[in-house]
Amino acid sequence: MSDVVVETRDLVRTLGEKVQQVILDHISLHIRRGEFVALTGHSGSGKSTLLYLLGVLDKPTSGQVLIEGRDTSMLSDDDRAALRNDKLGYVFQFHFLLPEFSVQENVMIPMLRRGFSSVRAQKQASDTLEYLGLGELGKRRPNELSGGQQQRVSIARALAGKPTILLADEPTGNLDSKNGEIVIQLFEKLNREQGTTLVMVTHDPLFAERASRRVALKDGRVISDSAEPGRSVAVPDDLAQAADAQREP
Amino acid sequence: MRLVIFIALRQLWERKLLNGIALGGVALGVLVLIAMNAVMQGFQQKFKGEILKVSPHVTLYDKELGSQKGLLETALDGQRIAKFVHHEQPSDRVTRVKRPRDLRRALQEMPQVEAACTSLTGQAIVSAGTVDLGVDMRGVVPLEQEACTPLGRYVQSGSWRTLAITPDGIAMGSGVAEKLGVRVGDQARIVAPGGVPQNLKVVAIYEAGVPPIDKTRVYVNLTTAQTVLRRADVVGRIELRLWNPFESQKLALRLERITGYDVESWQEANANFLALFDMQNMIINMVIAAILVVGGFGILAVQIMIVLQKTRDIAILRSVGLRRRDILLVFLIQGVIVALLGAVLGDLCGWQLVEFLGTLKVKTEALVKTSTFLVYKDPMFYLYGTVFALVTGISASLLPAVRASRVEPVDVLRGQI
Repeated sequence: MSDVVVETRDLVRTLGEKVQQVILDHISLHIRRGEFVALTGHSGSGKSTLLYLLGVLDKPTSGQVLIEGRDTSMLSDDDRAALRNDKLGYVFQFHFLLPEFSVQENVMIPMLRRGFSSVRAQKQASDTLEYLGLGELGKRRPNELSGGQQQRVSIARALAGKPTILLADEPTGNLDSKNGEIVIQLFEKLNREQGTTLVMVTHDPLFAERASRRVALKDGRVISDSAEPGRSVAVPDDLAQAADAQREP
Repeated sequence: MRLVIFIALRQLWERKLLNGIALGGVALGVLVLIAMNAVMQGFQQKFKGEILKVSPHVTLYDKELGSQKGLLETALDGQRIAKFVHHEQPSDRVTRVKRPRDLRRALQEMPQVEAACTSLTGQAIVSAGTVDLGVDMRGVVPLEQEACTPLGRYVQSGSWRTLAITPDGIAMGSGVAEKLGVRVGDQARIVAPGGVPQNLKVVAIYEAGVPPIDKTRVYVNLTTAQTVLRRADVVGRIELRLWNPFESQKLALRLERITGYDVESWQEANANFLALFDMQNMIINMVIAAILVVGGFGILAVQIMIVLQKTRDIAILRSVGLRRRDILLVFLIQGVIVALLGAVLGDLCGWQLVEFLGTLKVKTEALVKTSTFLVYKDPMFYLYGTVFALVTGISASLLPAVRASRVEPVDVLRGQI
């Protein structure tokens, strides 16, 4: 198996019905096993959209997303759900834990969906919570936890099933700097110790600096990629605007 | 599937109050269904039962057959080749069943017929001492009649068989006996307009539990009735008892065609009551349906609220790999559980209520005589209740569930960010 975990080919995503707004404009990227990629860019640059596409949460308008060499564009809705369950872990800006379930149950749900026995899921969930320093909180409900703790629980949920790739959308966006730091340190630790492949969307340049690879987006295009310095030719603003003007009738 | 049930149960439990209210709505519907049906059917079944017990299933009535077309006329299909003068005999004008014994025997031979009996009925006045009472007099062949309308088992004093061996005997309903103030062994005088008064001996007093029969009817031997009514040798009707009372309408139509007499099934004879019952049942069923629909709307409202509140959670569940149908199932299961628990609660309360109603003392002597509230206890009502509750539950949660399953995680995420 190639060590490219996720590949995008000429990925285009437009939004809107009457006025087609191009969010992503022919993005081609390779993300290799063990990389810690930061997707940066201003709001509206398309970085979150790219992340959703990488995570097969969204379908591209054209182009392909390949997960471990497998084209996802032809998959049925169920197969995409199964793929998300099997290979991908998500951390969102808002912690998105299910309030009716205990911390441990929240972490277990993706594994139970995968068909793990409850004993195994329980074990793996406790181990992961332990690893993230949340061992004591398993029985608690999410709303009894602080924001930083909730975000770490959602990381545990993403991680417990040992995903091929962990996708994080502004994981620090809703946290104070101290908790943000904890989350970033956790990502670094995961990447270093467990070799987890990470793709993190952030607009915070300080956190982006900590990633091993930084991909910057602007107006739906990659304007720099630290792994491919040859591509980091910044698109001049006026050129981009000209292109925009052409696109919008 | 295990996970889906787990999620459904937990979400349900976390919204005890809301779901409890929805459940209460369903339970109420089921309760009303059971109680209403028990009461309605209690009365109606009792009424039908009483009718079937002591009334003939099919009755063939006498009819003036004198105006029938002549043989020749019938054969030529109305085309006349000659006019003939015909003077109607007085005997042609008498309404009677012709050759009743042969007809009775023929009817008796039919496979559907359990028993057939001939009788002559008429209005008469019975008097005992100074009391006169207008009655519905039935001249019967007692043992034949007993096979058609088994009144014998309701005889309270005396015996039906005595009537068969006592040519001047009379059997009367308890209400008649009470009004006349007579007992078995007493004398009574019966008289009809234009007829010959007879002195009769009371040989049996019965109480069938059907006020019209108990309060106005007396039975005498056929010959006595023929004398009293001065209609010697006339039979006015033939009554039939069928093996299956519900074949009566079909048979009545057929007999009408074959014999030319008026033939009436018990349903026709009681058509006004049965139509009333149908109407009653329809109204009640509409009320029950309305209550169940309201219960369904309870589930619908609660679930739509939950789905709207839970959009984020649905997006999460979808993003961690639950399929659309998993989400659909989560909500359908909730609807089914609410409906099922509602049905169980409704069944239990309904059962209690029916038991309670059954003990209520209500004295009525209108259509049927009873001293307690009539309830019909049929386990099928509980089944209907449960089935209807489930149908409402599933159909009510279908819309919210479909809506939930259509949630696109990416729409929710985009909206949030």
